[in-house]
Amino acid sequence: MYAVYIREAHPTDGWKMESNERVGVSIAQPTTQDGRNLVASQCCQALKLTMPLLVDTIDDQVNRAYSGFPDRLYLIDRAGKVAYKGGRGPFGYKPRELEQTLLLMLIDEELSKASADEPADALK
Amino acid sequence: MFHTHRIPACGLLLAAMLVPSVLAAQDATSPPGDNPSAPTVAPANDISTPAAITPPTLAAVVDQLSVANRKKFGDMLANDWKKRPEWADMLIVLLKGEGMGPGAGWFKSSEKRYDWKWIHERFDANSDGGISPEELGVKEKESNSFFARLDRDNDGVLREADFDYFGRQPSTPALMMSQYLAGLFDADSNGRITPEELGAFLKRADADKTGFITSEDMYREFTRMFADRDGGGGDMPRPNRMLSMFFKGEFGVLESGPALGESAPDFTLPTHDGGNSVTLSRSQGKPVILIFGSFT
Repeated sequence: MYAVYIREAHPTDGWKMESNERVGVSIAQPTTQDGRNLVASQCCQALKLTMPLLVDTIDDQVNRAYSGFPDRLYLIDRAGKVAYKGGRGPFGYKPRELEQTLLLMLIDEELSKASADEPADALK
Repeated sequence: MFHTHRIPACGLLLAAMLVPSVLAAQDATSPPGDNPSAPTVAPANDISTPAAITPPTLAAVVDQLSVANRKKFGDMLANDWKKRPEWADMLIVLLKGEGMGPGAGWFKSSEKRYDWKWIHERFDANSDGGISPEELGVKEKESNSFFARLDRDNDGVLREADFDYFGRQPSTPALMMSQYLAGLFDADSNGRITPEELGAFLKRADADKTGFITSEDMYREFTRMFADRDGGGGDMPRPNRMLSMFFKGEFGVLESGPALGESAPDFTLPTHDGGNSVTLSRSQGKPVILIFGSFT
Protein backbone atom coordinates (compact mmCIF):
# COMPACT_ATOMS: atom_id res chain seq x y z
CA MET A 1 0.00 0.00 0.00
CA TYR A 2 1.45 3.31 -1.07
CA ALA A 3 0.29 6.86 -0.54
CA VAL A 4 1.27 9.05 -3.46
CA TYR A 5 1.53 12.66 -2.34
CA ILE A 6 0.44 14.93 -5.16
CA ARG A 7 -0.20 18.62 -5.77
CA GLU A 8 -2.20 20.46 -3.15
CA ALA A 9 -5.95 20.39 -3.68
CA HIS A 10 -6.64 23.59 -1.77
CA PRO A 11 -3.52 25.74 -1.69
CA THR A 12 -3.77 29.27 -0.37
CA ASP A 13 -2.90 30.55 -3.85
CA GLY A 14 -5.59 28.47 -5.50
CA TRP A 15 -8.94 27.15 -4.28
CA LYS A 16 -8.43 28.12 -0.69
CA MET A 17 -10.66 26.47 1.89
CA GLU A 18 -11.61 28.14 5.18
CA SER A 19 -11.89 24.73 6.79
CA ASN A 20 -8.15 24.26 6.31
CA GLU A 21 -7.35 27.72 7.66
CA ARG A 22 -9.40 27.05 10.78
CA VAL A 23 -7.23 24.10 11.74
CA GLY A 24 -4.01 25.89 10.91
CA VAL A 25 -3.35 24.24 7.54
CA SER A 26 -2.26 27.09 5.31
CA ILE A 27 -0.14 25.93 2.41
CA ALA A 28 0.73 27.53 -0.92
CA GLN A 29 1.27 25.25 -3.90
CA PRO A 30 4.90 24.07 -3.77
CA THR A 31 6.95 25.07 -6.80
CA THR A 32 10.03 22.95 -6.17
CA GLN A 33 10.55 19.27 -5.47
CA ASP A 34 12.09 20.10 -2.08
CA GLY A 35 9.10 22.29 -1.32
CA ARG A 36 6.73 19.43 -2.00
CA ASN A 37 8.85 16.98 0.01
CA LEU A 38 8.66 19.37 2.94
CA VAL A 39 4.88 19.70 2.76
CA ALA A 40 4.57 15.92 2.45
CA SER A 41 6.68 15.50 5.59
CA GLN A 42 4.49 17.99 7.45
CA CYS A 43 1.43 16.07 6.35
CA CYS A 44 2.98 12.77 7.43
CA GLN A 45 3.80 14.13 10.85
CA ALA A 46 0.52 15.92 11.40
CA LEU A 47 -1.56 12.89 10.41
CA LYS A 48 0.82 10.40 12.04
CA LEU A 49 0.95 8.27 8.90
CA THR A 50 2.74 4.96 9.11
CA MET A 51 2.69 3.89 5.46
CA PRO A 52 5.32 5.02 2.96
CA LEU A 53 4.53 8.42 1.51
CA LEU A 54 5.80 8.62 -2.07
CA VAL A 55 6.14 12.15 -3.38
CA ASP A 56 5.12 12.92 -6.95
CA THR A 57 7.48 14.84 -9.23
CA ILE A 58 6.96 18.58 -9.19
CA ASP A 59 5.59 18.39 -12.74
CA ASP A 60 2.92 15.98 -11.50
CA GLN A 61 3.90 13.02 -13.67
CA VAL A 62 2.31 10.23 -11.67
CA ASN A 63 -0.73 12.32 -10.78
CA ARG A 64 -1.41 12.88 -14.46
CA ALA A 65 -0.74 9.25 -15.40
CA TYR A 66 -3.34 8.12 -12.86
CA SER A 67 -5.69 11.11 -12.78
CA GLY A 68 -5.10 11.24 -9.05
CA PHE A 69 -6.05 14.85 -8.31
CA PRO A 70 -7.65 15.85 -5.93
CA ASP A 71 -7.77 12.35 -4.50
CA ARG A 72 -8.39 8.83 -5.74
CA LEU A 73 -7.95 5.17 -4.81
CA TYR A 74 -6.66 2.32 -6.96
CA LEU A 75 -6.29 -1.42 -6.43
CA ILE A 76 -3.79 -3.12 -8.71
CA ASP A 77 -3.78 -6.90 -8.97
CA ARG A 78 -0.79 -9.23 -8.85
CA ALA A 79 -0.43 -9.03 -12.62
CA GLY A 80 -0.18 -5.24 -12.54
CA LYS A 81 -3.68 -4.60 -13.90
CA VAL A 82 -6.20 -2.16 -12.47
CA ALA A 83 -8.79 -4.11 -10.48
CA TYR A 84 -10.42 -1.09 -8.84
CA LYS A 85 -10.42 2.51 -9.97
CA GLY A 86 -12.17 4.77 -7.53
CA GLY A 87 -14.32 7.62 -8.68
CA ARG A 88 -12.77 11.08 -8.58
CA GLY A 89 -12.51 12.68 -5.19
CA PRO A 90 -13.99 14.03 -3.08
CA PHE A 91 -17.26 12.34 -4.03
CA GLY A 92 -15.76 9.10 -5.27
CA TYR A 93 -13.24 8.55 -2.49
CA LYS A 94 -14.51 5.39 -0.78
CA PRO A 95 -11.95 3.44 1.23
CA ARG A 96 -14.59 0.92 2.35
CA GLU A 97 -15.37 0.13 -1.26
CA LEU A 98 -11.69 -0.48 -1.97
CA GLU A 99 -11.51 -2.76 1.07
CA GLN A 100 -14.49 -4.79 -0.12
CA THR A 101 -13.02 -5.12 -3.60
CA LEU A 102 -9.73 -6.35 -2.15
CA LEU A 103 -11.53 -8.94 -0.02
CA LEU A 104 -13.51 -10.18 -3.01
CA MET A 105 -10.29 -10.40 -5.01
CA LEU A 106 -8.77 -12.59 -2.31
CA ILE A 107 -11.92 -14.73 -2.29
CA ASP A 108 -11.56 -15.05 -6.06
CA GLU A 109 -8.01 -16.28 -5.60
CA GLU A 110 -9.24 -18.88 -3.10
CA LEU A 111 -11.86 -20.04 -5.60
CA SER A 112 -9.29 -20.33 -8.38
CA LYS A 113 -6.97 -22.29 -6.12
CA ALA A 114 -9.81 -24.59 -5.10
CA SER A 115 -10.81 -25.38 -8.68
CA ALA A 116 -7.16 -25.84 -9.65
CA ASP A 117 -6.93 -28.49 -6.92
CA GLU A 118 -10.00 -30.38 -8.11
CA PRO A 119 -8.51 -32.22 -11.11
CA ALA A 120 -5.82 -33.60 -8.79
CA ASP A 121 -8.53 -34.80 -6.41
CA ALA A 122 -10.53 -36.34 -9.24
CA LEU A 123 -7.57 -38.40 -10.25
CA LYS A 124 -7.22 -39.95 -6.83
CA MET B 1 -13.63 21.70 -35.68
CA PHE B 2 -17.08 20.46 -34.78
CA HIS B 3 -19.61 18.64 -36.88
CA THR B 4 -20.42 21.93 -38.53
CA HIS B 5 -22.89 20.32 -40.86
CA ARG B 6 -24.93 19.18 -37.87
CA ILE B 7 -25.10 22.42 -35.90
CA PRO B 8 -28.77 23.32 -35.67
CA ALA B 9 -29.90 26.67 -37.01
CA CYS B 10 -30.01 28.32 -33.59
CA GLY B 11 -26.35 27.47 -33.17
CA LEU B 12 -25.17 29.01 -36.41
CA LEU B 13 -24.67 32.43 -34.86
CA LEU B 14 -22.66 30.85 -32.12
CA ALA B 15 -20.63 28.86 -34.63
CA ALA B 16 -19.94 32.02 -36.62
CA MET B 17 -18.62 33.62 -33.45
CA LEU B 18 -16.56 30.57 -32.67
CA VAL B 19 -14.64 30.08 -35.87
CA PRO B 20 -12.53 33.24 -35.68
CA SER B 21 -11.92 32.70 -31.94
CA VAL B 22 -10.80 29.15 -32.49
CA LEU B 23 -8.43 30.22 -35.24
CA ALA B 24 -7.09 32.99 -33.02
CA ALA B 25 -6.71 30.62 -30.09
CA GLN B 26 -4.66 28.21 -32.15
CA ASP B 27 -2.24 31.01 -32.95
CA ALA B 28 -2.18 32.48 -29.46
CA THR B 29 0.01 31.27 -26.64
CA SER B 30 -1.60 29.23 -23.89
CA PRO B 31 -3.58 31.23 -21.34
CA PRO B 32 -1.43 32.11 -18.33
CA GLY B 33 -1.25 29.53 -15.62
CA ASP B 34 -2.31 26.79 -17.99
CA ASN B 35 -0.88 23.34 -17.60
CA PRO B 36 1.61 23.10 -20.45
CA SER B 37 1.09 19.36 -20.66
CA ALA B 38 -2.70 19.52 -20.96
CA PRO B 39 -3.84 16.49 -22.91
CA THR B 40 -4.44 16.57 -26.61
CA VAL B 41 -7.59 14.76 -27.51
CA ALA B 42 -6.64 12.11 -30.01
CA PRO B 43 -8.54 12.33 -33.29
CA ALA B 44 -9.91 8.87 -32.52
CA ASN B 45 -12.16 10.49 -29.92
CA ASP B 46 -14.04 12.38 -32.56
CA ILE B 47 -13.51 10.96 -35.98
CA SER B 48 -14.74 13.91 -37.97
CA THR B 49 -12.42 16.37 -36.24
CA PRO B 50 -9.46 17.38 -38.33
CA ALA B 51 -7.79 19.36 -35.55
CA ALA B 52 -7.42 18.22 -31.96
CA ILE B 53 -9.78 19.85 -29.46
CA THR B 54 -7.75 20.69 -26.41
CA PRO B 55 -8.67 22.32 -23.14
CA PRO B 56 -6.60 25.44 -23.94
CA THR B 57 -8.43 25.84 -27.24
CA LEU B 58 -11.80 25.65 -25.55
CA ALA B 59 -10.63 27.89 -22.73
CA ALA B 60 -9.97 30.68 -25.21
CA VAL B 61 -13.39 30.18 -26.78
CA VAL B 62 -15.28 30.06 -23.48
CA ASP B 63 -13.52 33.19 -22.32
CA GLN B 64 -15.25 35.19 -25.01
CA LEU B 65 -18.74 33.89 -24.41
CA SER B 66 -21.44 35.51 -22.33
CA VAL B 67 -23.12 33.44 -19.64
CA ALA B 68 -26.13 32.74 -21.84
CA ASN B 69 -23.95 31.69 -24.74
CA ARG B 70 -21.89 29.50 -22.44
CA LYS B 71 -24.98 27.49 -21.66
CA LYS B 72 -25.71 27.18 -25.36
CA PHE B 73 -22.15 26.19 -26.00
CA GLY B 74 -22.44 23.52 -23.33
CA ASP B 75 -25.55 22.17 -25.02
CA MET B 76 -23.78 22.21 -28.36
CA LEU B 77 -20.85 20.23 -27.02
CA ALA B 78 -23.19 17.76 -25.36
CA ASN B 79 -25.14 17.19 -28.56
CA ASP B 80 -22.44 17.33 -31.20
CA TRP B 81 -19.45 15.80 -29.50
CA LYS B 82 -20.52 12.30 -28.64
CA LYS B 83 -17.24 10.47 -28.20
CA ARG B 84 -15.70 12.96 -25.86
CA PRO B 85 -13.16 12.52 -23.09
CA GLU B 86 -14.03 12.74 -19.41
CA TRP B 87 -12.82 16.33 -19.04
CA ALA B 88 -15.32 17.42 -21.68
CA ASP B 89 -18.14 15.91 -19.62
CA MET B 90 -17.06 18.09 -16.72
CA LEU B 91 -16.70 21.19 -18.88
CA ILE B 92 -20.27 20.77 -20.11
CA VAL B 93 -21.61 20.62 -16.55
CA LEU B 94 -19.72 23.79 -15.66
CA LEU B 95 -20.82 25.63 -18.80
CA LYS B 96 -24.45 24.77 -18.21
CA GLY B 97 -24.20 25.82 -14.57
CA GLU B 98 -25.49 22.48 -13.39
CA GLY B 99 -25.01 21.41 -9.80
CA MET B 100 -21.90 19.66 -8.58
CA GLY B 101 -22.09 16.28 -6.96
CA PRO B 102 -21.71 12.55 -7.47
CA GLY B 103 -22.71 11.69 -11.04
CA ALA B 104 -22.16 15.20 -12.42
CA GLY B 105 -19.60 15.44 -15.22
CA TRP B 106 -16.50 13.42 -14.44
CA PHE B 107 -17.63 12.48 -10.95
CA LYS B 108 -18.60 9.03 -12.10
CA SER B 109 -18.88 5.91 -10.01
CA SER B 110 -15.90 3.65 -9.49
CA GLU B 111 -14.92 0.90 -11.91
CA LYS B 112 -14.39 -2.41 -10.20
CA ARG B 113 -13.80 -5.98 -11.23
CA TYR B 114 -15.48 -7.43 -8.14
CA ASP B 115 -18.95 -6.16 -7.32
CA TRP B 116 -22.30 -7.40 -6.01
CA LYS B 117 -23.03 -9.15 -9.27
CA TRP B 118 -19.79 -11.09 -8.99
CA ILE B 119 -20.34 -12.33 -5.47
CA HIS B 120 -24.06 -12.91 -6.00
CA GLU B 121 -23.45 -15.19 -8.97
CA ARG B 122 -21.04 -17.31 -7.03
CA PHE B 123 -22.43 -17.49 -3.52
CA ASP B 124 -26.15 -16.82 -3.43
CA ALA B 125 -27.02 -20.51 -3.45
CA ASN B 126 -30.74 -20.09 -2.88
CA SER B 127 -30.98 -16.94 -5.00
CA ASP B 128 -32.83 -14.97 -2.37
CA GLY B 129 -30.83 -11.79 -3.01
CA GLY B 130 -28.81 -12.23 0.16
CA ILE B 131 -25.66 -14.10 1.06
CA SER B 132 -25.49 -15.54 4.54
CA PRO B 133 -22.26 -16.45 6.31
CA GLU B 134 -23.02 -20.10 5.58
CA GLU B 135 -23.44 -19.42 1.87
CA LEU B 136 -20.08 -17.66 1.86
CA GLY B 137 -18.57 -20.62 3.63
CA VAL B 138 -17.57 -18.90 6.85
CA LYS B 139 -18.58 -19.48 10.45
CA GLU B 140 -20.95 -17.14 12.28
CA LYS B 141 -19.58 -13.70 11.64
CA GLU B 142 -16.77 -12.64 13.88
CA SER B 143 -15.76 -9.02 14.04
CA ASN B 144 -13.05 -8.11 11.54
CA SER B 145 -13.71 -11.29 9.56
CA PHE B 146 -14.09 -11.13 5.80
CA PHE B 147 -17.83 -11.31 6.21
CA ALA B 148 -18.06 -8.49 8.73
CA ARG B 149 -16.00 -6.20 6.54
CA LEU B 150 -18.20 -6.95 3.53
CA ASP B 151 -21.45 -6.56 5.49
CA ARG B 152 -21.58 -2.78 5.46
CA ASP B 153 -24.96 -2.32 7.11
CA ASN B 154 -24.07 -4.97 9.64
CA ASP B 155 -27.35 -6.84 9.34
CA GLY B 156 -25.79 -10.28 9.04
CA VAL B 157 -26.50 -10.76 5.34
CA LEU B 158 -24.63 -9.54 2.27
CA ARG B 159 -26.97 -7.71 -0.07
CA GLU B 160 -26.72 -5.45 -3.07
CA ALA B 161 -26.97 -2.34 -0.86
CA ASP B 162 -23.79 -3.39 0.94
CA PHE B 163 -21.92 -2.84 -2.32
CA ASP B 164 -23.79 0.23 -3.54
CA TYR B 165 -21.78 3.42 -3.13
CA PHE B 166 -23.22 5.36 -5.91
CA GLY B 167 -26.72 4.38 -6.88
CA ARG B 168 -28.81 7.29 -8.08
CA GLN B 169 -31.65 5.17 -6.76
CA PRO B 170 -30.06 3.93 -3.54
CA SER B 171 -31.43 0.52 -2.82
CA THR B 172 -32.54 1.08 0.76
CA PRO B 173 -33.88 4.09 2.68
CA ALA B 174 -30.98 3.87 5.13
CA LEU B 175 -28.45 4.01 2.30
CA MET B 176 -30.26 6.89 0.64
CA MET B 177 -30.45 8.95 3.81
CA SER B 178 -26.81 8.37 4.73
CA GLN B 179 -25.59 9.31 1.25
CA TYR B 180 -27.76 12.38 0.79
CA LEU B 181 -27.41 13.78 4.28
CA ALA B 182 -23.67 13.19 4.48
CA GLY B 183 -23.24 15.02 1.21
CA LEU B 184 -25.28 17.92 2.48
CA PHE B 185 -23.73 18.24 5.93
CA ASP B 186 -20.16 17.70 4.80
CA ALA B 187 -19.59 21.34 3.95
CA ASP B 188 -15.87 20.99 3.26
CA SER B 189 -16.25 17.62 1.52
CA ASN B 190 -13.61 16.00 3.67
CA GLY B 191 -15.77 12.98 4.42
CA ARG B 192 -16.12 13.87 8.10
CA ILE B 193 -19.18 15.34 9.77
CA THR B 194 -18.35 16.83 13.13
CA PRO B 195 -20.60 17.74 16.04
CA GLU B 196 -19.78 21.35 15.21
CA GLU B 197 -21.07 21.01 11.64
CA LEU B 198 -24.28 19.37 12.86
CA GLY B 199 -24.68 21.92 15.64
CA ALA B 200 -24.21 24.76 13.19
CA PHE B 201 -26.92 23.25 11.00
CA LEU B 202 -29.37 23.01 13.91
CA LYS B 203 -28.65 26.57 14.90
CA ARG B 204 -29.20 27.90 11.36
CA ALA B 205 -32.36 25.86 10.90
CA ASP B 206 -33.85 27.07 14.18
CA ALA B 207 -34.67 30.45 12.70
CA ASP B 208 -37.32 31.37 15.27
CA LYS B 209 -35.12 30.27 18.17
CA THR B 210 -37.54 27.81 19.67
CA GLY B 211 -34.82 25.44 20.82
CA PHE B 212 -35.97 22.71 18.43
CA ILE B 213 -36.42 22.32 14.68
CA THR B 214 -39.31 20.96 12.66
CA SER B 215 -39.43 19.39 9.22
CA GLU B 216 -40.45 22.82 7.89
CA ASP B 217 -37.28 24.34 9.37
CA MET B 218 -35.26 21.60 7.69
CA TYR B 219 -36.97 22.15 4.35
CA ARG B 220 -36.22 25.85 4.44
CA GLU B 221 -32.62 25.40 5.54
CA PHE B 222 -31.91 22.60 3.04
CA THR B 223 -33.32 24.79 0.26
CA ARG B 224 -31.00 27.59 1.28
CA MET B 225 -28.01 25.25 1.51
CA PHE B 226 -28.57 23.83 -1.98
CA ALA B 227 -28.94 27.27 -3.50
CA ASP B 228 -25.89 28.49 -1.64
CA ARG B 229 -23.77 25.56 -2.77
CA ASP B 230 -24.67 25.87 -6.43
CA GLY B 231 -24.44 29.67 -6.45
CA GLY B 232 -21.00 29.84 -4.92
CA GLY B 233 -21.48 30.18 -1.19
CA GLY B 234 -18.74 29.74 1.37
CA ASP B 235 -15.77 27.92 -0.07
CA MET B 236 -17.53 27.00 -3.31
CA PRO B 237 -16.32 29.36 -6.04
CA ARG B 238 -18.75 31.17 -8.30
CA PRO B 239 -19.45 29.52 -11.67
CA ASN B 240 -17.16 31.95 -13.52
CA ARG B 241 -14.22 31.15 -11.33
CA MET B 242 -14.99 27.42 -11.48
CA LEU B 243 -14.48 27.50 -15.24
CA SER B 244 -11.11 29.21 -15.07
CA MET B 245 -10.05 26.86 -12.28
CA PHE B 246 -11.20 23.93 -14.37
CA PHE B 247 -8.98 24.92 -17.30
CA LYS B 248 -6.03 25.42 -14.99
CA GLY B 249 -6.54 21.93 -13.63
CA GLU B 250 -7.25 23.27 -10.11
CA PHE B 251 -10.62 21.61 -10.04
CA GLY B 252 -9.41 18.20 -11.07
CA VAL B 253 -6.67 16.80 -13.24
CA LEU B 254 -7.80 16.80 -16.86
CA GLU B 255 -6.35 13.38 -17.69
CA SER B 256 -8.47 10.28 -17.10
CA GLY B 257 -5.95 7.71 -15.94
CA PRO B 258 -5.90 3.97 -16.74
CA ALA B 259 -9.22 2.17 -17.15
CA LEU B 260 -10.30 -0.98 -15.35
CA GLY B 261 -8.29 -3.92 -16.61
CA GLU B 262 -5.52 -1.83 -18.13
CA SER B 263 -1.95 -2.07 -16.97
CA ALA B 264 -1.16 0.31 -14.17
CA PRO B 265 1.41 2.82 -15.45
CA ASP B 266 4.79 2.12 -13.93
CA PHE B 267 6.63 4.76 -11.94
CA THR B 268 9.54 5.28 -9.59
CA LEU B 269 9.17 7.80 -6.80
CA PRO B 270 11.20 8.67 -3.73
CA THR B 271 9.72 8.71 -0.24
CA HIS B 272 9.08 12.02 1.50
CA ASP B 273 12.10 11.64 3.74
CA GLY B 274 14.41 11.04 0.79
CA GLY B 275 14.64 7.35 1.57
CA ASN B 276 14.70 4.50 -0.93
CA SER B 277 12.72 5.00 -4.10
CA VAL B 278 9.81 2.71 -4.85
CA THR B 279 9.20 1.30 -8.32
CA LEU B 280 5.68 0.03 -8.85
CA SER B 281 6.56 -2.84 -11.18
CA ARG B 282 8.83 -4.34 -8.51
CA SER B 283 5.66 -5.09 -6.55
CA GLN B 284 4.31 -7.33 -9.27
CA GLY B 285 3.06 -10.52 -7.66
CA LYS B 286 1.44 -8.65 -4.78
CA PRO B 287 -1.75 -6.63 -4.87
CA VAL B 288 -0.99 -2.91 -4.56
CA ILE B 289 -3.18 -0.13 -3.22
CA LEU B 290 -2.45 3.41 -4.35
CA ILE B 291 -3.81 6.37 -2.42
CA PHE B 292 -3.57 9.73 -4.15
CA GLY B 293 -4.00 12.89 -2.12
CA SER B 294 -2.53 15.93 -0.45
CA PHE B 295 -2.58 17.68 2.91
CA THR B 296 -5.07 20.32 1.89
